[in-house]
Amino acid sequence: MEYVFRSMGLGKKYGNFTALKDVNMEIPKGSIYGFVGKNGAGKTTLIRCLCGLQRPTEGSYELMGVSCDDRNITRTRRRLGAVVESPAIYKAMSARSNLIQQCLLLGLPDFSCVDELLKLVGLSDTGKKKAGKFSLGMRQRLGLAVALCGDPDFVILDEPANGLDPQGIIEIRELILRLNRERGISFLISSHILDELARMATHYAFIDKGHIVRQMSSEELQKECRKSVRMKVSDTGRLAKILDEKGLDYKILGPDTADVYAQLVFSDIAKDCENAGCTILTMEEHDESLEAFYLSLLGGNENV
Amino acid sequence: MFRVLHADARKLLFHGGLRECLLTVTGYLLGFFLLMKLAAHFMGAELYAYDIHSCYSSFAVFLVTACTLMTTISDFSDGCIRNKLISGAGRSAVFLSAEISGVIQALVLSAVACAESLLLALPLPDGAVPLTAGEIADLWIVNTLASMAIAVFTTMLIMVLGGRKSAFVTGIVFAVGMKIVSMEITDKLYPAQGVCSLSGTKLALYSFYDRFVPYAYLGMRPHHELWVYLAGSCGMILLSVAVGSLIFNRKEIQ
Repeated sequence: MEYVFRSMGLGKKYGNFTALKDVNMEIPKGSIYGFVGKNGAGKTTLIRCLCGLQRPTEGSYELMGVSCDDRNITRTRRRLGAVVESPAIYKAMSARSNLIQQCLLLGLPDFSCVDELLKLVGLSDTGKKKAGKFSLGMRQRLGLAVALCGDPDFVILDEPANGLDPQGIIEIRELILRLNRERGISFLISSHILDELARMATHYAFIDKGHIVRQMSSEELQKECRKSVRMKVSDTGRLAKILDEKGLDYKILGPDTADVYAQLVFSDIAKDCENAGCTILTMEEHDESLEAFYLSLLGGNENV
Repeated sequence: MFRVLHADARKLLFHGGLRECLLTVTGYLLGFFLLMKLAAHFMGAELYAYDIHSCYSSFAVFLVTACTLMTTISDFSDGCIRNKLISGAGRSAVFLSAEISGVIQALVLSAVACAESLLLALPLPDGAVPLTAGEIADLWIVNTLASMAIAVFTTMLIMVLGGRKSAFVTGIVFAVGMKIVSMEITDKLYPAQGVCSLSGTKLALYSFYDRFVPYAYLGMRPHHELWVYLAGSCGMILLSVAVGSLIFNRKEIQ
């Protein structure tokens, strides 16, 4: 598989504080990679290292096949677009001027992409209004347009939904999906809106305390988060025996709770339980969201 | 580096910092001219051409410092320096481009101040010690050289300290401090009454500062050979670029 980014034992220390430790992460080409973690988990530090703003203290990484120690890494970054933390915009310039500025910075031969990008992010009618007077959502869109300048192969977005209204979030999501589908652009998206991320990401990485806890594809996540019937019974041991006999997939969560991964006919299972001397207390459909999975994986609900 | 410089030079056209400083120069020169003319009229004195020509150099330190601080700090705080690095510009290119932008600002400020001073001084008498065309040229060359060196040094300070407010404060405090030191040294080396009473190491240090530190060039009529000013300004520029480049290349950008 071809990767746009691979890190091998990447580490970053600030004095005695370890921000990243032994990070091994692979972002497949053409993927939308969701990067999930608490505040201070190390997401932005990794993004900063990837963008060349900071140097790792341990390990190495490859960006589009070019090692971070290679002299060509700076040139390779021209194929990269990023909005790290806040959008990088010249506040005294209009949206159009900002994009022309980025074209000049990238050494593009003409500014033909400018109008298309403005239309793409919904800023074509801003005229001469200075970016400094834009709302947070408009700045976010402009930041995205700046990142998309020069037709990059890989785009990094740190909290792209920040400051956007619901309509804006939908538009940006559809834009990301369209760019990924039509132009094959790979995305690394760090987001706190996990359910929003679940609507676009093809791959995920969960980071905690500077360490990648888990990497998985959306298919794998779907399996982990699959629909189940959560049953509360008097004795899960007896319930397990019944489910084993029926050949159903299940998970015992406690002495009285179990998740059954199958469509159950209530009258059948009720009859079986009664015969086995097991009382059903409650039975409800259960759908584990990405957020719930995240909490179960990282064990905590602070600053999700 | 040229694509970064192209973008940076274009940014100056839009940035309020340079525009505001140009307006300040114009306002200051015009205000100085009108107030002094008025004062001279009521006191029965005369305003001379040299007074106008020396007007800019007395506050150029603060103006150039403020201008470069404003334009470069906003680059940092708006994330534009970060964006340049993400977009594949080399650290040296970003640093050098910022330094050259500082030089451009100093040049523009000096050029505008020179043109306005020449215009305002045109109807004024020469006074007891008239300035020849060569001396006027020398004065403005020294002003420009010193302004360029100060702009490069200030830009280096911000690129090294980052876009924090402390960088702005440090820049201004440094400029004020250097101005006070320059006044003190000038006063000791060229006392208004009597002769210089300095000797030994102090005299050598003060003379070195007077000859080779551009902060001392502004606010005084040129009194050294042109090569001394050139050497002092180039020395400060080269030192600032070398030290700044070394630190910026290793700096962690937030």
